[in-house]
Amino acid sequence: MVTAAEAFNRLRERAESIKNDSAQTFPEAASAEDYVRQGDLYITRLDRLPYGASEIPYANQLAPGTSRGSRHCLSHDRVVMYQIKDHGPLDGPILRVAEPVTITHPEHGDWILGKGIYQITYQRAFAEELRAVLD
Amino acid sequence: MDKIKSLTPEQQQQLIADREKYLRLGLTTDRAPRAEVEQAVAAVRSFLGKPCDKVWWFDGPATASIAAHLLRNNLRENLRDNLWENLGDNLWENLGINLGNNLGNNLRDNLRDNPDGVRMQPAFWGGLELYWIAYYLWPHDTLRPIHTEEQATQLRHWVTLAKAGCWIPFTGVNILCEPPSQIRRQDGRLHNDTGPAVEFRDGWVHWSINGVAVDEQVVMRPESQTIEQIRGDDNEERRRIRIERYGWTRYLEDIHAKIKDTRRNDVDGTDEILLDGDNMVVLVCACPSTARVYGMEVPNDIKSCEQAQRWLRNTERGFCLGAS
Repeated sequence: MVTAAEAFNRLRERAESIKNDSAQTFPEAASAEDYVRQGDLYITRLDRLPYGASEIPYANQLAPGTSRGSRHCLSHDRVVMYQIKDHGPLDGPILRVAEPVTITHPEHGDWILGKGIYQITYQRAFAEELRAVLD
Repeated sequence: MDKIKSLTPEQQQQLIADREKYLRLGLTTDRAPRAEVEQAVAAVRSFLGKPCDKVWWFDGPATASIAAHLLRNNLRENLRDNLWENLGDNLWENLGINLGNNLGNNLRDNLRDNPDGVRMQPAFWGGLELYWIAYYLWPHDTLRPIHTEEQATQLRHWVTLAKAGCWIPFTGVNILCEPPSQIRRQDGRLHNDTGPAVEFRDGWVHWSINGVAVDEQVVMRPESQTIEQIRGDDNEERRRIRIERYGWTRYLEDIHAKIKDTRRNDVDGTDEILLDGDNMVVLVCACPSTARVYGMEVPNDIKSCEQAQRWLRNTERGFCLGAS
C-alpha cells in the first residue's frame, strides 16, 4: 500500500516533469457551463447573459486583492462587464468578449478567450461562511 | 479635455525605462544624502505652514519609532495627518480627470504596487513608498501636465524624501532614518529563505518569502512550527509556505494523514491526493504552470478528488476543459 508521503513525492515529481505555463485558448467547441481554471479563478462559458445581470464599470483585474496571486488581468479594455444582482463572494464579473482577449497572470499560464460570454468565479475556501480563497 | 486612454509605443517604452529608474532609487541601500533630504523636509513643511529645521537622524525605523514614542508626550503634534490631507485627495483627483480607467490601472500595476508593506509609526516610508510618488508624477512628466506647478514641485520634494528610510514629523522636530542596508529579492519580489529580506542599520528586519510577509520562525526555524500554528494561519499562500518550509512529508506524517483517494487529473495531467488526517480532509494537488504543491482543506464528508474539485468550484455543473 502506498503511504501518504510516497504519494506526495510522486505527485511532486509528476508536476515538475510536466509543468508548462504556455498560453492556452478556451476551446471554441465548449458548451455552456464548461470552464477552464487559471489558478484559483474559474472562467465559465455562458450561452447568454444571466437574467438580471447589469453592466458594471470595466476593471482590468478580475480578482479582488492586491497580492501577486490575485493579478488575473485582462489584456485590453474592449470587454463589457456585468454582474448579477445578489451575487455571492465567489461570483466575479461576467465578461462579454467581442474580440479575443487574454487573461494574464504573473504565475499561471494565460487563457485566450474568443468571442462570447464568460462568467468569472473564485475558488472556495474552507470556512464557516463562504469566502473566496485569500490569494 | 479628452482623457488619455492608451500610451504610444514611445511612451510605453519610456514607462518601462522610468519604472526601472524609480525602482533603482526606491531599492537603494546607500546611506541617505542627509543635506538634500533635510532641504526637502524643510520645503514640504514650509508648504504646510509648519516650518521646523530640527532633524534627528537614526539608523533605522525601529530606533526612530522608539525615539518618537519616548518623546511623544513632549513633541506635541504629530504632523502625519496634515501631510496626507494636503497631498492625497488633490493628486488622486488630478489622475482621475486625465486618465482613462484602464491606463490608470496599467500605470498602477507598473509603478505603484508595493508587494510588501511594513507597519510602524512613520508617516512616510521613504524609498519603500516611492511607487505612489512615481504613479502621480510620471503622467505629469511624460503624458501631459495634470498637476499645478506647486503640486508637481511638492511631488519632486517627495522624490528626494524617498532617499531616506522613513520620516516621522512632529511640530518641534523631524525624525528621519537611513534607508535599508540590505534588500533581497527574487523575481522582483522580496525574498530570502536564509535570513531577513530587508535589513536596516539599527537591526530592524523584515522577513519575506516569494513576496509573502512571514516571520523569523518560518525562515530560520521552520521545523519548530507547530501544526496548530500552521493550521491557524488564514492566509492560503503563507500557509502553503509554512507547510513547504515545515516539510510536506513531515506535515502529512505529523497529522497522520491517510489517503482517501488518488487520481490522475486527465485535464491538466497532474496527480491529486485526497488525504484525511487530524480531523481534516485536504486535497493535495499541483499547479500545472509552476508545479507548486497546494493543500486545500475541504469538508470532512468529501470522499474523492473529483468531488473535492467540484466543491472548490462550488458547483456540479459543467466540465473542466483546461487548467493553468
